[in-house]
Amino acid sequence: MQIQLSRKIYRELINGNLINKKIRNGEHLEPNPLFDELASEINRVHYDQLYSCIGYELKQLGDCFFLNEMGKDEMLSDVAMRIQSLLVILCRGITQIPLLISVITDFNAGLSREHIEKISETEEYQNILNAVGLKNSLIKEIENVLVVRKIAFWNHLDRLVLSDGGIALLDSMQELSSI
Amino acid sequence: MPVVNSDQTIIAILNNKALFFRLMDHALADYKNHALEFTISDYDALLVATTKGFNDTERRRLFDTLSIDNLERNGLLNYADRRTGRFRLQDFILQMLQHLDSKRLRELSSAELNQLMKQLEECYRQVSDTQVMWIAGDDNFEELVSSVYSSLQHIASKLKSNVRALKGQTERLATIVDEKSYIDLERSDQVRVALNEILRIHERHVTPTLQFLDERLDIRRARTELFGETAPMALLKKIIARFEERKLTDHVAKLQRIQFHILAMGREIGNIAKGLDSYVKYAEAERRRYNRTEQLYNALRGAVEEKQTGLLRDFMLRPDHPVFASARPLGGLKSFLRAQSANVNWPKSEGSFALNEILRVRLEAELNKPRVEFSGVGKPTSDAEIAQRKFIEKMLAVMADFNYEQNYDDAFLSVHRFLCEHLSDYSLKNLMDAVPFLSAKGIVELALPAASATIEYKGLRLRYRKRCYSTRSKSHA
Repeated sequence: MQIQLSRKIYRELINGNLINKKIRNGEHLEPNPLFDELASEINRVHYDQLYSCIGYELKQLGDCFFLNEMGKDEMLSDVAMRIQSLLVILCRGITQIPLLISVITDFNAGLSREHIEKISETEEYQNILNAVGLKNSLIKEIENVLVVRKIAFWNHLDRLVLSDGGIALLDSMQELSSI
Repeated sequence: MPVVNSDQTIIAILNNKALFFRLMDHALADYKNHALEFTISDYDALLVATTKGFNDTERRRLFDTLSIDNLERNGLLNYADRRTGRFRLQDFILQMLQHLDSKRLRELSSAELNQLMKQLEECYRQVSDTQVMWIAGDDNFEELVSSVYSSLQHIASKLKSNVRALKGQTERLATIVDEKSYIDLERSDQVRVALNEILRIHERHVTPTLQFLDERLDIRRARTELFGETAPMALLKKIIARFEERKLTDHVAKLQRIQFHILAMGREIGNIAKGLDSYVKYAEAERRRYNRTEQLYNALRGAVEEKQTGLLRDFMLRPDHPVFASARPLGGLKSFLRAQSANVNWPKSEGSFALNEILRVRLEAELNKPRVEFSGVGKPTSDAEIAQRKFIEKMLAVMADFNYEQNYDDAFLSVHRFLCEHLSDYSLKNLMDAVPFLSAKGIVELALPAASATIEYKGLRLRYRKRCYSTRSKSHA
């Protein structure tokens, strides 16, 4: 285990952020050393034990890591609820423009701020956001909820793209059987 | 009108194929026009437009060559209905034109493949007919052989055209998708349309053709009146086998050539299908995502609408609502830092020195702080307060002798005069302390009409609005 990386990992995870496999560096995506540190076969067991000793469970979803409190598997946080709502509204808005949903999963593509503004004009979406406690503009809430937690980021073209964790969550939402 | 022969007419058609392409595009745009009929007026208009810039001689020659009458005369029209103003080119002319632009070739649909299948079945029925004498030179036999060749060549030709059409279309669509540019909204829309088209071609043309050409696949088809369920290529094999049984090796060789040619197209279609595989998977994934997004959105919207009862409370959704089951993988993700207390930051060196200094300064300040003295209830703490208390007690005793049973027009003046006479050390400042005694015994109210008054006493002046006093038994009029 590398101490410096471990500290950075802790700071990210304890703030409720995701650690993704790749991070943006200019116009490219490159491997994230924090993810590699966690995912390494040798280290993984130790990190699992470390976080379980302080009451957390290190979880992996696709190509990302995050923390949950131990013994609270059945509880969904407000943050998770808001993340799902934002992703569903974004995807729905994209199809109504119309664009392909893969615009938000392709690093070289992305959803422009103008498109997001256009999506936010729909009153139905605003009602849904209010119902989950998001009262600011859509773009602000995307910044606060998705970008800060590394579920999405702005690419080199200043367009919104989902990170590895965001894509994994979207795929997981797509796979679950209908409600 | 001069007659132009078929050769020249066909050459003219080929030289002016753009005109016919426009007619075909116009006809295809009308989804009800399955017959690919053209209107005479459209054709004439396009003919005139084509000859713009021509000199008179060239214009006249083209009009003569491509006129409806000349086309009909040369057998290049299926029909020309002047009453409804419509005409149709012969199939071979249309196919020739489509061949010149592979984008215009029509792919074979399941319905058309089923037609070819029926043709094969009829062919097989004919070669299985026990009434036919398999003797060279026999009229029935020769007709049978001619029919078999004709059917198989027709099938081969249709399939070849189909392969060409599929190749053309898929290459065009793949180019659109590969050049996808999300920056340009129009391009993105073209990509979306192209992907849907690829999916459609794969489902409705490529897959049925592959099934048709797969000799190992025994496809369950609808029972025909002739035979049961047999794969087309297996049927073709059986037809050739009939000739083999009769030891007609010549015909077997020729028919097998056609068969190999048809099967080779199966490999070509297979390659097209492989090439489309990644696009099809991408398009199917996009379609699944779209459907699932709609599902999730409708559920979320429904949950929100259920909560909207017009009240300003209890309209918020909670995380334990079933609609958020999809986010379960995230669990209790949140910022855990806020739930924890601040870190203890102890300086590495001289930590106790800093603490001692803080304590020293605070202790000193604490020791030098003036003590606050709190008195018990009812006990005065200073001389001034004691003097004040004594004065109030004296006033109490004096005011006990005041005549409360009399009404006064100016209550303040009456009390002032009384206190001047009976209270030593009286000052105008003490008048207001005495006025409440009047309120306790009677009614003190503003005098009407309102009037101001002034009292001056020992260097102090009081300006006030007159108040009158009346006893509680009778009010002042």
